[in-house]
Amino acid sequence: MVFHEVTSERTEGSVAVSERRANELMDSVRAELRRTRPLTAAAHDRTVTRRAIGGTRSRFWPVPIYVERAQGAYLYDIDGFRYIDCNMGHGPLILGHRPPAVVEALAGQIREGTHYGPPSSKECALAELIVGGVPGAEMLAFTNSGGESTMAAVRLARAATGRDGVAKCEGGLHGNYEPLLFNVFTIAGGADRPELVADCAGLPVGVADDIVMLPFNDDRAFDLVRERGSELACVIVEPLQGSAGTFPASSSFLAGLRAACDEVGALLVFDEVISGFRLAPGSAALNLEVRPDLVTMGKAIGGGMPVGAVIGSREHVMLTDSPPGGGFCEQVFVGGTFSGNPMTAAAGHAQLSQLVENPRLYDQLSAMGERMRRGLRRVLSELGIPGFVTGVGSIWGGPYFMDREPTSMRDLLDSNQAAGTLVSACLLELGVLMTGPPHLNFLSTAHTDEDVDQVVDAHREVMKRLQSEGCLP
Amino acid sequence: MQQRGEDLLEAARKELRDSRPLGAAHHERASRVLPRGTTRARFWEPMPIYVKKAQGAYLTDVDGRDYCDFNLGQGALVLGHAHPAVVAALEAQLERGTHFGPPTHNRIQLAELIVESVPGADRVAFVNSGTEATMGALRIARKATGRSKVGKVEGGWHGANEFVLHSFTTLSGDAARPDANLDSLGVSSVATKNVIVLPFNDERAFDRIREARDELACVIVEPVLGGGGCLPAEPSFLEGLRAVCSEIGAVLILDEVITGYRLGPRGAAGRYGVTGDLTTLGKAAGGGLPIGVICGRGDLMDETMWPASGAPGDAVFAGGTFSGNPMTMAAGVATVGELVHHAEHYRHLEELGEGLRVGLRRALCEVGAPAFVTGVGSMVGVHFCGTMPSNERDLVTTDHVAAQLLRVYLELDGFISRGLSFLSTAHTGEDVHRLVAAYERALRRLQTEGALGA
Ligand SMILES: Cc1ncc(COP(=O)(O)O)c(C=O)c1O
Ligand SMILES: Cc1ncc(COP(=O)(O)O)c(C=O)c1O
Repeated sequence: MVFHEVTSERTEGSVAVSERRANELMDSVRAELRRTRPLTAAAHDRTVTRRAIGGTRSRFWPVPIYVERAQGAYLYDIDGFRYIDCNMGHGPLILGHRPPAVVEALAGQIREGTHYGPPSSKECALAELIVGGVPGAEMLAFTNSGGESTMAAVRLARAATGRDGVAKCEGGLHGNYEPLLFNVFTIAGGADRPELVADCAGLPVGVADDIVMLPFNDDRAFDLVRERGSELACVIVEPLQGSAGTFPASSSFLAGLRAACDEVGALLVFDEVISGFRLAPGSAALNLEVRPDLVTMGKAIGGGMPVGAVIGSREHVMLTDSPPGGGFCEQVFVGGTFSGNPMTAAAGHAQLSQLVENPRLYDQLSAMGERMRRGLRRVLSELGIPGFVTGVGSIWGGPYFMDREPTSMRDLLDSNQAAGTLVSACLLELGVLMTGPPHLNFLSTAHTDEDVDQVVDAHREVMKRLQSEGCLP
Repeated sequence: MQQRGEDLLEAARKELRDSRPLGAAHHERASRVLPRGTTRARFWEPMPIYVKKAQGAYLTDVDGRDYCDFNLGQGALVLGHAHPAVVAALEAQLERGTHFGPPTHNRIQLAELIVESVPGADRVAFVNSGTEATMGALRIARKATGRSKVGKVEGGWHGANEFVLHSFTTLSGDAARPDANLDSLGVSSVATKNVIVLPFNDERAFDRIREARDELACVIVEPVLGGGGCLPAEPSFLEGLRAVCSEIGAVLILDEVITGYRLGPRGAAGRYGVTGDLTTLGKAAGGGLPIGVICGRGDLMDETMWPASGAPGDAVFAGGTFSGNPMTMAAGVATVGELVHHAEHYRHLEELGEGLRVGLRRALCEVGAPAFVTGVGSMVGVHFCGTMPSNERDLVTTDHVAAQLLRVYLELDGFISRGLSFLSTAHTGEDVHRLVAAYERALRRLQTEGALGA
């Protein structure tokens, strides 16, 4: 995944030159990985040339990789190479791969049936753990993905307010619901008034009319909310922007959004698909003063199985229910065939119980995250490479090769993305797995300080190489 | 009559609660955190049973009661619960891990099985639900045609996708040109402006499509209306849709989320001999784990999902964190492999389905109940309405209270069978006979209670 700027052409400066050099080097790294990983190359060819499979997430990987198995912090590819996993399934696996409690829960569930029509007896216990972790929440409804949960949240907000407008932030990724697929990867216009750009083809005519685009971590967002306040059903924001490059929202930004929402009568939705149970045993709001009206979660709450949930007050969540005997048009439709299925409920419950019962795990995760960020910053300064590392707790982004500290995806436009892609590709050769830019990386409780140090050392080696090849200053 | 129905429902609820004390307690507890005790309470009024485990054709609830299951996870489990091949595949995958960022080999395997079996499928994209599959399919069609509107039939169910979530149960307007009525609150009016509702099993749909030729990106249709009441499309209707879509350059999407791998190894498309430009799958394709699939013509999917240009706005995005996850892929490969490579399964399913339809018709006749049996293959519908239904309009006279009471009486008797019943390879002829006998008992009870009209 590479992010884009639609307006300006990049100038032919030193950055452009090193980017060109980086692309050349990328080709040779690709060739080397193909040579050393013949089974991976064959699998890739089989997908691409014989029978293409939708690149469900393949865009995230700088070079193809196919997983054979994983355990704890390590992932093994089909050629037998081992990697320290800095991706953890795009975040859900906080306890690492195959934590015993989750494996045990799933092993039991597999034999008792994976899915029923009537509800399973396990849905409730998972719901209780999640609701218990969200300040002020009373109820939730399950979906099958984070994307379905933000869809549900927007519908609840629209039904609650009787308005259609939705405000979201640049760089905010909320899944594949049509109204939220704007300015996810693309930056356009000025920060005072970002220009709407659809980041998905095939959206229906008119969807854009409902959307208000806000700059992230920028006070000018508040006036944009007020300006179209009477049309707005909700403002949806990630308390920690993940896929944009791992940027925590500043508390003043969230407080400003809260105030603007209250003023115009819109709901504030926290999209916590990434941050939920990642930064604290529940919502990120546990560590904040600001309280959202609705929270969406996914990833971690399913313990490694597909999941999503929309969480809020009884009054809001009960909008999903029609009065007995009532028709479909009297409810907000949420859910589907597999919502609340017992595999997800079993795995989610096993994972969340551990986290809720041992909140100290978050201290351990944060300490490791801090060690990682500090280590990477040290490497950058040792080598004299201008660059930054972002993140909080067990999440980090970068290294971003640029001169000024970034606080939003907009800032990352100045970074050297080609070098960033190259770092991820070269790290694979050294046994470290992480996605390309804008990097979003995760640790788990299965990682150790030694793993962290190895990742840092691998970065040092790769960046030195890129320096010597003329791809980095 | 209405008051009588409500009294009977209340009595049935009490009977459920009294006979299932643990379930009733669980319902109370669950209702504090989940809307009326579960995410999908509306299917299980007045009180759901809570399932503890399942095996083959049977469910066991928290009170330890067994039920012969003719719902099968809303139709997903064509091989029944905990099929040994699926259990083995999932256990093996669990040994390796449940979920990774990068893909696995079994994703390629399931894609190849789908390409091998689904007519017209050259390419495959995985998502997490049928809803996400229809969302993606619509976007592909819009991108490919440069048009925005979607044609869908009255009574068609395509999941929570608001750009088709119209006129499923809320019907109005001229039968030839039905109104587009939203079936959910909280949806922007933009959605409704992009929907054209077509009559089902009615040739007048074709003219309506021709009329909209400049704005219609696609027509999405279930070969057998599932949620809408188990109403098979007439072959001529599907053929007509195929022809008119080709004529005006619109994409035909066959929504086979229910029918795929249920009505045959090649789904309804194989059975009807009609091929969609795109096909959506779900349910059975995931072997009992969350799944959605978009598959179809190579040129169509390549140009829209993976275009040469790198800009995100030029490509249709479909997918997410868990799309193509290895557990779903493992269960899917086990299930689809078993079904595609063993034709005898479908002979068995056909026999069971036919046996159930014949048995239910006889039972209805003997009891003198005003109801009709619909369906095809392993899908069977029972309708309390005035005429043999062939489209959703025929169902407007349905006596929903009688239908709901019937479902609850069957539950009290140890059978899970909603208006739409499914069969699995785990069911036997004996199970079918027992269900027919249970229907007869439940119908007689309804009759005695005066709850069967006419
Ligand atoms: C903040 C956020 N919201 C929503 C989503 C969508 O979730 P899913 O991929 O499960 O559809 C994501 C996925 O990465 C996310 O990061
Ligand atoms: C024909 C059809 N399409 C789509 C869907 C939506 O699938 P899901 O419930 O997995 O979102 C369903 C679900 O019942 C369906 O029957």
